[in-house]
Amino acid sequence: MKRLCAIIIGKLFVIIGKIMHRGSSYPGYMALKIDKDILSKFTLPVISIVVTGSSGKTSTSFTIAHILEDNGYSVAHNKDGANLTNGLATLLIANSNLRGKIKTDAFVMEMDERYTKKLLPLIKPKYLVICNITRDQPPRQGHFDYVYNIIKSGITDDMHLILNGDDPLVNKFAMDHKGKVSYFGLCKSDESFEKLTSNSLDMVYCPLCHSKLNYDFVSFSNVGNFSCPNCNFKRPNLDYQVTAINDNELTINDEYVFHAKTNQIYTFYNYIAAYATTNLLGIAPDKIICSMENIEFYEKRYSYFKYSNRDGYILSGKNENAPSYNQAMNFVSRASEEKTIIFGFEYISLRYPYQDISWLYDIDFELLSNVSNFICVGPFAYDIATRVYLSGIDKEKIIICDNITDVYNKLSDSNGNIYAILNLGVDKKFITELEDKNIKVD
Amino acid sequence: MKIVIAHLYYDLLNLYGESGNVKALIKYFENQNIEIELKELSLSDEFDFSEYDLVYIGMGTENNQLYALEHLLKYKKDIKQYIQNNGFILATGNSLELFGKYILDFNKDKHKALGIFSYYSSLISERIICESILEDSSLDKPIIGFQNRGSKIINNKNYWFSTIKNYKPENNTDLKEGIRFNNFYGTYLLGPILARNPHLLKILSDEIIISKNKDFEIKEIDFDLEVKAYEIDRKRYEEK
Repeated sequence: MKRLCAIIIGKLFVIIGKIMHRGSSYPGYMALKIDKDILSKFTLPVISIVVTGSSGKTSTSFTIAHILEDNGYSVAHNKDGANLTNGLATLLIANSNLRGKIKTDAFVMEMDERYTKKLLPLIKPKYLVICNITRDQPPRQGHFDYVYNIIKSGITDDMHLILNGDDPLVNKFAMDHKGKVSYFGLCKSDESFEKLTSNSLDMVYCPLCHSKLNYDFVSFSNVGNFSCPNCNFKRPNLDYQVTAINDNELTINDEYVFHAKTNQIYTFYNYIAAYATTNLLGIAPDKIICSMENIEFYEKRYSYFKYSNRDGYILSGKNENAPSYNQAMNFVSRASEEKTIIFGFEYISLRYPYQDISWLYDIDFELLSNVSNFICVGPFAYDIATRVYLSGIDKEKIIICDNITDVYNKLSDSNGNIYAILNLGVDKKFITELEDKNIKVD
Repeated sequence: MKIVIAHLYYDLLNLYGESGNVKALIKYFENQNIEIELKELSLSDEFDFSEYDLVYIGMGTENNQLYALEHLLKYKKDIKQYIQNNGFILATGNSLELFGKYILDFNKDKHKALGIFSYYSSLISERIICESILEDSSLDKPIIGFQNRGSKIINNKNYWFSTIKNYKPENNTDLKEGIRFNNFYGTYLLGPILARNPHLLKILSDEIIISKNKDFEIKEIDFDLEVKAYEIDRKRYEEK
């Protein structure tokens, strides 16, 4: 009775939300008020998938849902990214009948990694996809072992784990898992590295014997083809592997060729994870590839503009997530010409009040070369400037700006191609600023 | 003059930009025209404390902290002697727990630590996450920084900082912080505290220089960017 009441009220709010054009997790919030145990009272379809990890879960879950829909399955999916308790409740309510049975053929949820301990046991998905675990928003996430332990305590042996085989920490989930495990990963490519590129990485030691891991190649951070020099801990045999990478042309398991919409390595993990998951569900490789090729979702690596005769690139990062900024650093470090860098953000996080800047020191500014000017923008400009100075850039080259308009005005005093590396949100402001000045951005 | 910095467990106790401390030290010494040797050392290396002018050690996960402890215990006597002989050590985050009597893990199992100080450490149920302003009466300005930890030390008898302002009221129970003994500096602040507090960087670095050569003429370094960053961040903390 309680469940019925909660579902009805929840559904009412789902309808109200639709009329007001406001996607939110409010219906779930209301339903949980009425029945706090509602989450465990739903019946999921046979195909039930949760995707979690530090990065890539949005893209991966989106790709999985897209492939399923494209192949005729009806799918319940939290597209809007509401990935906490209320978001899950909303997703369930919006797609269930009044008895709590999910009406769609498949259930696909991107779940915040910190909520897995609490939520996984309540809904018991059949498949759990884990993308990676990297340093991300420390005030919220603590640290990578902490995140590992949270996810671990939500896993039960009846779940089929679909793991990133290239991430050593993610491999630990399989160690004492008695249920099924499948692995996905990549091969070496022109963009992978010979060895670890930073000292500020997460687990690079063997969890069994504490020897430092060797790498045949590194895709990013500590993710790559690893092996322990001292014991058996190594990258597992991959069930699903990108076996050749030629710009955006990927070959899967030596056989199936796929043209990705992007050419960034970390996005290839999202594709292969989605491929693995949907193939395990019985969808044929050519059908999966066809669906992945007609997807319209992925963002470009950069936006391009021309400032007088100089090339300009706008890249974005996520604050408190050094790996995301290091993707941009790796891109810029491949350009040897004289350049001006723009770097900045308006706030550290919207999720909490802390103003920690430690993560700036985990970004590899040391990789930058031939920098003629470094423009720091925003309320943390002096913190950025200090960090950049300590990476070896002369103080005379460092310019401090309060805001984006100020940045634009300073460009005429700077030299070389322009690389703007900005936090999500600030990148859009910079694009608007350029467009206001009649500069085309694409 | 040459100064040797040992960054212990640089790839293991490296949670929050701790490499910034080493970068700040190197830049300061370079600006004084002092030759620097940085030794990045970890589990597979042998340590020789007689070679180091400064030892830096940062914060790690609870697992990594215990890996490091197991390795570091081999050097228990050397470290004790190093500290007694006024060797310089800066320990940030939970690395200061390594120097206590023991560390209690998740299962309340005791891990014997270096036993240099009388405290021990224990895990806490709710992580302490806060910005802090710490005062040391011998410094003209307070130290600013960030804490993010899941453990605490008990029975500390060598506090470094006399007052602490934490910007998370429920955690405002410990009114003193840090360890200071001879030239051992330990604090639960984590990350690049020397980069963020140029006055602390100067005092620590100058003491190291003087300990090597008391007649060395130390140049005044222009910390314009660093001081601005410090002032703005401190104001930001104080206004909360």
